[in-house]
Amino acid sequence: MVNPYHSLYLHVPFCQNICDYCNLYSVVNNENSTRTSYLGLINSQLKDASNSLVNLQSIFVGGGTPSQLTIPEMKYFLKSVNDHVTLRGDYEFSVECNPSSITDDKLKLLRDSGVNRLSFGAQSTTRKTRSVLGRRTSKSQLDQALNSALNIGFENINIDLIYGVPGQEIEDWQYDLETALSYNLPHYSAYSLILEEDTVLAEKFSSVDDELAVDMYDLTAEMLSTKDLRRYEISNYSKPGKHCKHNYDIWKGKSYLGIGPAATSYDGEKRWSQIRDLEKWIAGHAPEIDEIPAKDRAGEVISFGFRTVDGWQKTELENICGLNTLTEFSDIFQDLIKSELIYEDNNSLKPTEQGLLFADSVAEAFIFI
Amino acid sequence: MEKKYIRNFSIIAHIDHGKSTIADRLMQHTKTVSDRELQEQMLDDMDLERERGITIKAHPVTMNYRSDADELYQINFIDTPGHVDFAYEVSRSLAACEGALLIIDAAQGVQAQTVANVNLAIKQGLEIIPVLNKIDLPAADPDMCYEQIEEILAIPREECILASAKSGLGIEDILEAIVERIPQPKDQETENEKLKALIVDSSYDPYRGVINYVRVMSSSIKPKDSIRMMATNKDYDVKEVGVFAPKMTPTDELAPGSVGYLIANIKDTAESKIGDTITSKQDPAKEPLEGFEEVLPMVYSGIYPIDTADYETLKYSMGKLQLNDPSFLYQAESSAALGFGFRCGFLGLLHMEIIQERLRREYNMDIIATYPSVIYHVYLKGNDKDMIPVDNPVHLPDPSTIDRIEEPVIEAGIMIPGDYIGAVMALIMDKRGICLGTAAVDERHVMLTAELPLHEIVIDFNDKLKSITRGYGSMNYKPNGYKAAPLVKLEMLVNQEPVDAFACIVHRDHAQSRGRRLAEKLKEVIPQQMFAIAIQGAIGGSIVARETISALRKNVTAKCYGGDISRKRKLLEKQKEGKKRMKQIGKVNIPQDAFVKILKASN
Ligand SMILES: Nc1nc2c(ncn2[C@@H]2O[C@H](COP(=O)(O)OP(=O)(O)OP(=O)(O)O)[C@@H](O)[C@H]2O)c(=O)[nH]1
Ligand code: SF4
Ligand SMILES: [Mg+2]
Repeated sequence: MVNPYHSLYLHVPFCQNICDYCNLYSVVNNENSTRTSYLGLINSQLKDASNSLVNLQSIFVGGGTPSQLTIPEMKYFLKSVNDHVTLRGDYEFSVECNPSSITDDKLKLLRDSGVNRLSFGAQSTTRKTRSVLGRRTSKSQLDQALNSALNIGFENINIDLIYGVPGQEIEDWQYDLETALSYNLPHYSAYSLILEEDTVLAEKFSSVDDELAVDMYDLTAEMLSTKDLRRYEISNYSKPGKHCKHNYDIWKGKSYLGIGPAATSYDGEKRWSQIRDLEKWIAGHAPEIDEIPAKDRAGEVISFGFRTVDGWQKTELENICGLNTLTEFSDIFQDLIKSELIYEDNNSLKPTEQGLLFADSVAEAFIFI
Repeated sequence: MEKKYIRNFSIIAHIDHGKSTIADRLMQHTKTVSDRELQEQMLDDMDLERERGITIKAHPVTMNYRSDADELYQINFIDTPGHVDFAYEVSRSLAACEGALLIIDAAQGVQAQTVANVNLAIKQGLEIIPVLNKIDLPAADPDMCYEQIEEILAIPREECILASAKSGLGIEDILEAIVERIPQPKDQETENEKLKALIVDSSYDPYRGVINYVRVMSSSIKPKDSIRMMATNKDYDVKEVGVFAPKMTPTDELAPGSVGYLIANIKDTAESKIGDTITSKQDPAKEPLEGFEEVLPMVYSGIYPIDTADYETLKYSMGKLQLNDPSFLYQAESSAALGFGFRCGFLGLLHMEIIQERLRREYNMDIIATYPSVIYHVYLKGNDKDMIPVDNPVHLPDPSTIDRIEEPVIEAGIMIPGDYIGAVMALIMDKRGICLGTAAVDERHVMLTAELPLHEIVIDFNDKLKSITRGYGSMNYKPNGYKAAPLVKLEMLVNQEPVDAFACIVHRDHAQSRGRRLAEKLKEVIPQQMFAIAIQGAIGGSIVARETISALRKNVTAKCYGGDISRKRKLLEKQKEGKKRMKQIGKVNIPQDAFVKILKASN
């Protein structure tokens, strides 16, 4: 009997152009035949895995740019999903969209195929910041896309924003936040810019201003809280009950199957990643498997969980990857409490404000070398 | 080979003038190595030598040469290091020779070590063959060199050979000059029938034991001979003799006057001292050859394992390293901040750096070294007879009990273009030196003689000299006794705690500026942490310098989803590995190379 996964991730590796800060896997030049092979393989892999894709909690279609698929492609793609996957009643089915490639027809198709959450890449509403990011979507495209989505009946909508961009001042970020808040959405993701290796941006700039970024991070929480939006993870904010279940579950160590080039999976024991190369993925290149001892895996899961504001309930910690980490890692927890990176609260261990800002230091405590 | 056909010489020069490259050409021309085997500066076979492009250890080579007169010669030469730290290698190498090939970079001209090395060669009565190398360079200025050679080295210009180790020009002339001008090995004045061989250098092979590099002065050595070390009076049976061609190549015997190696099952370098005389067990000589003056370390520093559990391994590694480099000394010590480690003696800063690097690389040790010190002579009040040598600032007695402290001084020969004389005099003053004299070298260059505290030389004098003179200045120095000076202990505090490993002894008038600079540099090399770190310099309880390393504001990857988990872990593992390789003092992490960086970065 196959253990069913908790969630499913699907990677759509197509973009109109590559943004200067982005290191997600995607391609811009693609032949029709490649796209057809891609869709065919997604379908057959879903079919092969269908036994373990039952009663799923969530599906997340990310990219790249899923909205870049044409209507017929999207139809085929969504049909593949619906043919081979079953979902539980309170499911979440998210699709990432780029305001510049989404249309009313696509939105309707998504809605009619069971998609109930959209995530829009906005990044910034100011031209200055967008141009540093090499991001082409305009503010009016964003307005239009959001209006359409709301009209067509989507409620659960997120937009992604980036701060700490070179040249961006605190006032610019405040303006971005005000504009974003005016859409009155239930969810926002706000990321401090990371200069990822091998990106155009990393070649141009060597570092970001950490001081300013922390000020912006504080401003984000402050402004969003006025609209009942609470930070529930380092870079994510939502109205009560509107957090992204898919990501939340992954942070808490739930299993998921990832399909598509560069997609990763976790079955509770091992992780594996598909090759970051569309052609090779189509050719059937084997995934890279990352198998680590239960103790390290438990450490990894725990440190990811501490990225969420609610952290871990002690009862959860009693069984992580088959280990009673509450006792096994009690020294580490004590050290972290002493360093004021985590604290005890109502039978839970939660990150402090400082613990969120130093999440990588918390994670390092669970690296055993 | 008859003595008549043996020639022994060393290649000497200022650093980088092309000794090892000339050696390449000589070996190539005599087909000692084939063109296929040859690589640039091939005698520099240690990783560190190749990386830094400098010679660290003297390399002996034996080659055969058929002269223009159609006679076959055995030519033994030693390629020596040019850096002042290794000057003792030069003087030992010269003791095995009758001649010296003096290389002068024709674009740079005579420099401080050129003079020093020529003086060594003259003292030993060697025939000097001057070679103007790099004449292929557009900046080559033979006329300037001739003038300098005649003026300061008192060598007639006609003796110079023009050469380019790059193009191969002049190599034949050099080889002919070697057989014509360098005398054959001399007979010993007394006991010429008895075996006398000088141990010039040694190395250690884990399987074969000590390998002695010897110069046979009289009689010969063959495998199975019974030999005696005259200093220790211990006897051994010779297992193998041979020559460096340039790899070790066994031969039937080492003939009188020749240079080669000898293996005799000697397990410990202490049993065969460099400078000792090897004689025959059956028919021993009475008088040993004149050996070498013992070289004493100039600079001391503590070396500690990052992980205290590595103490024994470190000790073992140092022992091994010392077998190949007897000029490096070590002794157990402990530090409040760093735990158990060793106080080590080095010939100079470069030697210190190289030993540290070798421990890291060849022995895989994670170590941290403390701020370097020299040996101070401390005299207590009411007791003028007993001197306490102090090589570690931590051991400086209570200042109220001290009558006076003397520090080692050196005499430096500083060669500079005349334009910089003012600036260099000012530097000497600033470094507490006294200018003893100046002499013109040629129209444009002067040689300054100055007395300076050794500690100043160790810290940054040479770097400063180079930067003031745009690289044209060079310096050589030799110890010149001890002198009293108003010295105080400068302590460095990290978050109010004095860290013994950072303490140093400095001149009272320089204490404040040194303290400030140290604090500034520590601020640069200590990584930021979650909390602010205060760094202070203190003299006898009063704070003279203060810097604060501000706290990190964050350490978080903003975006982390399923796809990033494995990658993230690998990054964190690397980070943690990096931190583990730093020394924790209290809650503060100090990188291993902190002091080397501090010393390097000075201006
Ligand atoms: N143009 C030119 N460069 C040369 C010549 N001979 C040597 N060099 C270069 O000078 C540099 C130093 O050469 P080495 O042979 O390592 O000098 P060295 O005297 O052995 O140096 P140390 O052993 O460190 O004192 C190298 O970069 C050589 O390539 C030459 O005749 N012409
Ligand atoms: S940010 Fe989005 S649209 Fe831009 S390159 Fe990355 S995946 Fe494509
Ligand atoms: Mg050399």
